[in-house]
Amino acid sequence: MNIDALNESDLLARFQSSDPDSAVAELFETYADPIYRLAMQLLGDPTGAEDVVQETFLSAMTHRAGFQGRSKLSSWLYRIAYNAALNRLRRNREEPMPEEDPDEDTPAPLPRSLVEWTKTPEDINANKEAGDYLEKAIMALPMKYRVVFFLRDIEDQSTEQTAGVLGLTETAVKVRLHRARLALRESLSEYFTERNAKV
Amino acid sequence: MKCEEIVQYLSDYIDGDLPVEILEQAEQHMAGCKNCTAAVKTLQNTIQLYKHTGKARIAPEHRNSLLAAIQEAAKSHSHE
Repeated sequence: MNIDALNESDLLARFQSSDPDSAVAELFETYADPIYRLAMQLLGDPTGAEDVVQETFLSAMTHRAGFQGRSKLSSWLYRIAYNAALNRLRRNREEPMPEEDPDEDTPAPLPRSLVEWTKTPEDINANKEAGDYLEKAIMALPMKYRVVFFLRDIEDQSTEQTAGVLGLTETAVKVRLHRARLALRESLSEYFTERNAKV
Repeated sequence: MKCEEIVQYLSDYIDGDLPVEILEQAEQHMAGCKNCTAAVKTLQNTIQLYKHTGKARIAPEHRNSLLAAIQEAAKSHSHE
């Protein structure tokens, strides 16, 4: 979800003009899927995630004159989408909202599974069960870890950008990312070690 | 440096964010520690798998109607 600085500046100028049609189409082409994925991480529901995409773009249209370019367009849109998804969750919440779930001040737990394994993305794409397991493992993370892992490691946002989107300090982003990564590593290690042992 | 300390630095280590003096100690430890080496390699593998698999996209049959609804709203905004 990245556009180079020159194109972003041109795109923003057209988006903020009185004729934003082409810019809206370009923004949709570039950012609709990443926004959809963010909403899916939070809501786990394709219909709700599509609604968040629409709500994000409509909100961006309404407030586009006020965007001053202090953050990247992608961060701004992610921030709108994150808030839109959280508002939906607040109406029907089953787990703690990220901002209400304080970070643990104890060190991250030690790894338990220490057998080395190697899998490639091609291995996963060729094995539906393994793909489903990856999905299940990330959805089992507390939401506050899941969303940080998603932005940093899946969507390649920087620590600073992630902190801006989620309204966190960079230190909190690093702490949550560390715990998310360790939890996923543990989960995948148990799964792949067990699978390898059966072969 | 002990394994317990290495664990706290794993993320910064793979992101290349460790200060030089800690990096040197960590690498010295890992050169002789099979468990920590396995933890680093499987952590990197975990991240790579998520980065490169299953990037969901909006259903193709919904894509055009979603864009059309947004553009319709965009038009009404631009005429306000």
